[in-house]
Amino acid sequence: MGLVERAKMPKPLSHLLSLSRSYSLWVYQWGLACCAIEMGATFGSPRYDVMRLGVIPFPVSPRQADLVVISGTVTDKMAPAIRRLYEQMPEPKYVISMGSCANCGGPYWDSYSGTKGVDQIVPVDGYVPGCPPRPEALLEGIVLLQERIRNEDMSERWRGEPIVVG
Amino acid sequence: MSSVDPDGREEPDAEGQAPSADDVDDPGLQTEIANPADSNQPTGSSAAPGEGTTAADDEPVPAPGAPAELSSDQTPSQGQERGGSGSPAADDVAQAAGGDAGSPDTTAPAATAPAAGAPASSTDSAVVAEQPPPTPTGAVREGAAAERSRADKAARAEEVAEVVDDAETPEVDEAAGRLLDTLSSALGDDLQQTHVAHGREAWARVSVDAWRRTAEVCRDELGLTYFCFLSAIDWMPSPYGRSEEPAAGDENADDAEQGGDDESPAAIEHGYAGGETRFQLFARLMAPVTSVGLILKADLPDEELRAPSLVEVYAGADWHEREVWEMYGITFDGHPNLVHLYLPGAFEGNPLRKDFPLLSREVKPWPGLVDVEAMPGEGDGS
Repeated sequence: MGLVERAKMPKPLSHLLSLSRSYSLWVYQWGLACCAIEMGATFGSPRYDVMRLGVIPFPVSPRQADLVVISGTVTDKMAPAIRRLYEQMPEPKYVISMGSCANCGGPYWDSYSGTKGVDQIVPVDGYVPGCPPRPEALLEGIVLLQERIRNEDMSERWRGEPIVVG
Repeated sequence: MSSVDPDGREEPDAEGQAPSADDVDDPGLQTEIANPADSNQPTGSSAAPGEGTTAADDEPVPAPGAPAELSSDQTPSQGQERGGSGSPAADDVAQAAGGDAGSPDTTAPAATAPAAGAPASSTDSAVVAEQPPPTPTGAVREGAAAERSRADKAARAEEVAEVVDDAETPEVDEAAGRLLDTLSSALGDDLQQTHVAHGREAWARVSVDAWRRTAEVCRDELGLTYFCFLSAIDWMPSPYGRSEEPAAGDENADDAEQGGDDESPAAIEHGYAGGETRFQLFARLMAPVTSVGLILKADLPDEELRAPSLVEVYAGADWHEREVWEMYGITFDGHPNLVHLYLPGAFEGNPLRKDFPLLSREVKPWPGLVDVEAMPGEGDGS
């Protein structure tokens, strides 16, 4: 993806590439707490049918993933593992923080062991609020992220504000 | 709850008898055994000890009238005795629910049928029936009546519970008593205090020096081969007060602060089987065969938080002791691998101690303080 990152491609070509990327999001699931149930419903059930959006929740390794959904309570003990697996993902990579705990600590804001937001460890592209969020909320977060990927200028990649659902 | 498997009921149980409808002379048990769909809970006499509470709750209390008559042809003496013991509460219930209509004989079956199944609901109905009609004197009178009915209800519930306990749970207490007797003869003075309650598991407090020996006695002589858990208790009231208390300046906050800063031993209240020190070790053991459990406690001297490790007695104690070590700072002598289990390796402090500061709360008070309302039952509900 070196060409994409340098943004030296002709406009139609980069547009086509971004379109393709937005509809082939291999999503790596990082379920840590009760939000993982909602994430499982979103990604695993025919009711929400996430694959109609071009999201493929099957990577067996972060090295195959384009997107990681951190759902649930991030603890200080878990934080290094999240960082390590994030670093193993290939660029361009995206992170969605799902639920109050991953967003900011949530109900564990005063805990001795909870990390106050996963954005202290990895850069986050989208925040899905809720405790836990409904699957529809996560789907909205994914759709908004796809929209951003489609219109993304890779040279501006890290300068944008994160998406906040809702 | 119930750990007795269906097959186990076919074999002789702890009392040496297989419960079948013919052998059991208790009418309540007969109906339950004949209709297993009604209750798959083990009943009082066939239950393994330790399950007495649930069994007693489910067990109908025979009341005078139809249930006693049912049993009279088989076991008149027991039926009468049980009816007699159960009568004070159930009789009141029957009369109150039946009111003045008709003779007690005709009202009893209808009125006691719900009473037998659900004592709580029957006391409710009794209270409703006893409440005087509203009078023009107004709210004061009504408040007093409500007060009286609440007290009445509590007394009745206590009475019913007492009757049920007396009728159904002696086996549990006998088993606990035997357990504690054996423990006492094996440990001597190291057994410092015990506590037995109806339908509850026995508590025993031992000296910390005898902690491991107690575990060995429990495993080898008492058959308590299942290690359930080990933990610790920090009895010190939080020096930060209750965070839910109103903010500073309010009189309650001052009280809480004074109570919290005062670390005198008088401020510490210990639970069952007592204790004197701030930290107590706390473990539960169980006998898988008879379902009898025992809860062990040991006081830890404040100046030296050490205890012998139980890992060589119960291998399952390994992680529990690691958790207690990192959360409370209690060292276990003889533990093979006392390193952090839950906390990150570089963590400093013992977070489950009451005086462990939560830094977030130092910076920002509990946001729930904004809208503090009285809990139902506290104050006048205003």
